[in-house]
Amino acid sequence: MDAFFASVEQRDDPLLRGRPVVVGGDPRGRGVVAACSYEARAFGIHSAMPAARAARLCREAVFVRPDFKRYSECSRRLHDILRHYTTLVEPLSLDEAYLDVTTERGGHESATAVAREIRARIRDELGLTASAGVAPVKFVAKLASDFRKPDGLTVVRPGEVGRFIEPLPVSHLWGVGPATERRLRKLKITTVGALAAFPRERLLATLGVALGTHLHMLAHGNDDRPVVPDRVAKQRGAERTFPVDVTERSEMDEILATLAKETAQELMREGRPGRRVTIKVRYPDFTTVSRSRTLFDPTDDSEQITQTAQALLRRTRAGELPVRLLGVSVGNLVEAGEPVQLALPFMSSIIRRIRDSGIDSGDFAASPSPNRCST
Amino acid sequence: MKIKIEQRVLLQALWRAQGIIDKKSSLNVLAHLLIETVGNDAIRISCTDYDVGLIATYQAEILEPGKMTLNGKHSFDVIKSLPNEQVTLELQDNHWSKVECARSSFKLAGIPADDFPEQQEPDVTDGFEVDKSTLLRLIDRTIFSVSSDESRMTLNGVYFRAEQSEEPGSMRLTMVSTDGHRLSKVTTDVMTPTTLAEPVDAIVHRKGIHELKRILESDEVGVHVSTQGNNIIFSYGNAVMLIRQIEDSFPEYEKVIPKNSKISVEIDKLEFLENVRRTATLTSSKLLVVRFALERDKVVLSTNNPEQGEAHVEMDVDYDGDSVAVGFNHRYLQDVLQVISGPQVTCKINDEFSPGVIESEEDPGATFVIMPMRL
Repeated sequence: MDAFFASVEQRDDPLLRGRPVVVGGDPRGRGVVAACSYEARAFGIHSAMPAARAARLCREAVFVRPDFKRYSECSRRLHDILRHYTTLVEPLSLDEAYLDVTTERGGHESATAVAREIRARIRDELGLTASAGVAPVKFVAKLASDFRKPDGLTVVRPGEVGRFIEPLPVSHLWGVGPATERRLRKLKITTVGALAAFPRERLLATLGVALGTHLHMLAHGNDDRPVVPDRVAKQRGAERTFPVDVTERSEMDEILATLAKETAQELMREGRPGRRVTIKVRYPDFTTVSRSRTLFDPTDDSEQITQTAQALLRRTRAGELPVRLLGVSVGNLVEAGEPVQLALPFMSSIIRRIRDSGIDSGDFAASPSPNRCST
Repeated sequence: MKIKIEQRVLLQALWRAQGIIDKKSSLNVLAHLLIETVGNDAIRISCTDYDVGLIATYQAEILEPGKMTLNGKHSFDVIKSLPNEQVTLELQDNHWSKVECARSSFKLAGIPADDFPEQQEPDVTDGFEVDKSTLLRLIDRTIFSVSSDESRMTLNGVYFRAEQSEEPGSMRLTMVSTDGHRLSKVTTDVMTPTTLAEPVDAIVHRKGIHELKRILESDEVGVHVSTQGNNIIFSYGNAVMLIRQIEDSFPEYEKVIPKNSKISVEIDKLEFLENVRRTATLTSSKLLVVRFALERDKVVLSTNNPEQGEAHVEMDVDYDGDSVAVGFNHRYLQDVLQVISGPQVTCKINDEFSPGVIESEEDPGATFVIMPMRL
């Protein structure tokens, strides 16, 4: 989908159409940009940028707080449309998915015909625009879908893969970040074509076997990953990489709350609460750590996920060190139809009390007089 | 400081400390125990983790008075390896200690005795006596349903109440525990000449209860119970255990124990336990539910695990009411059936969403409540 959250906002509020729209935190606060319209992108605004900076870049930008409920609902309808054509749908996020239409394509003649019809239905039924890429392998399809954004369709036929990818900069390849890009530049490799022409053995010697093999394969247009339908997903979550490292813990807490909310929406949408809350933290030097806690009862409550995630953050060096990425996920999900343990009637009041007092494990506030049974 | 002590006596002292000392960090003060000479024929050994403290006195020959520390785990391993002969303990420079026995000698690293948190031997003149087996019976039948979820601190202990009973010369002891899914309540009257000025009313932390149980099971003694400040104190023989109370109110447990039940059925306890175990062979950590179906003159226990298969086990009961089926976590059923006394149990049920109760005529005062699992 094109600028998904922002497009939903523009669709639902005619006054926002044609204007730079930024969905995210309060520009006067410490929030970040979750999504922005193409009009806003023209000013240099991009997602994960601090909202305050976006406001400085574009004075006329309209700031909207995200409404994940509406985005999830829209996402559900989008995925319903996609599943109409094939069972092999692999969702990447709320608004992106891979479809394998090699054999099963809902009676349509070609993959291109499927892509055309899906885009038309998204326009008619959801009132939104989407971009699509059709290609013989996954990573080329992804590159093709980004090629003519917004509202574009790019078809790369099997014989055309080389011609399509060779002029692209290596940074477009899956697995090439800033560090790898620098190392490749030292070898005078800046385009995918140059990478493909580079001797394989030397590439492996420079980048290591794993990364070298992977990039050599991609540069030749090969990608043997199958499209994996997501029904047996083990976890749900969200993460953000920040263009500028986040240094303040209060800001990290706020980002975790947003990520927890997105995660909770996904869990609720699927009716599958989970027991294990995990956070992921990446420091500026790219070391990545995760911390988990298993809850006694499965949850899809954004408040409980937020509190657990924020408590877990205190078990990392975040705050002492800046972070460049934060993620929240919930795993150990309840299977559809799995029997659910019911709680004794007083549990809801205990949970509420713990939540209201902001008490977390480890720093339980002591009341002045001991115990006594009470309401 | 220098003392001589029998290996067997020292080993017992160190064994008692094993559940309390911190075994993970050998530098930590809490990984150590403190040994002080008392008069000219005894030593006092104390250890604490701030939640549970143990102070005990043992016979020893004092060659030179003073105090020293020993790493609880390392010294236990060393003393355990020695023959039952006289052991000499002597303080060295740098707070190390020298251990000699027969023709073996060791030097163990230690910390300054003054670093050890001060522990006053409490005044235990108040309180009451209870025999070990009564206390153990209360503990055994409640300890299994204590919550280990640290975010629900108030449930991390056993609620313990001692009050004057209506009968003159007798006292009523109650222990209750719950993890939110099930609840165990045991009440017993004991004859005692003591009159309590005010009831003992405490939430005793899980760890303390476990240590108390471990030590009571090995010692043949009566127990004196009292409270002082924030601690509940159990003294027996030559030892005093101080357990910090959880300072919060225990939930109103009486409200969740059903007063009336539509259905009540008598079941042979051992047959029931065996059949639950048999049915549970096809359960897994993901799927814990056993379906308890009451039909005319029989109970059918069953599981349906799509990954492994199905189990169906029947037993005879005297029942001619309507058919009803409730799902229960098989571990919760087993936990109760393992501790409840008597050859028969009474199962009381209302419907598949309400708490079920297990009681026994030969176990008056014991009530076990289990919430169902939604099938």
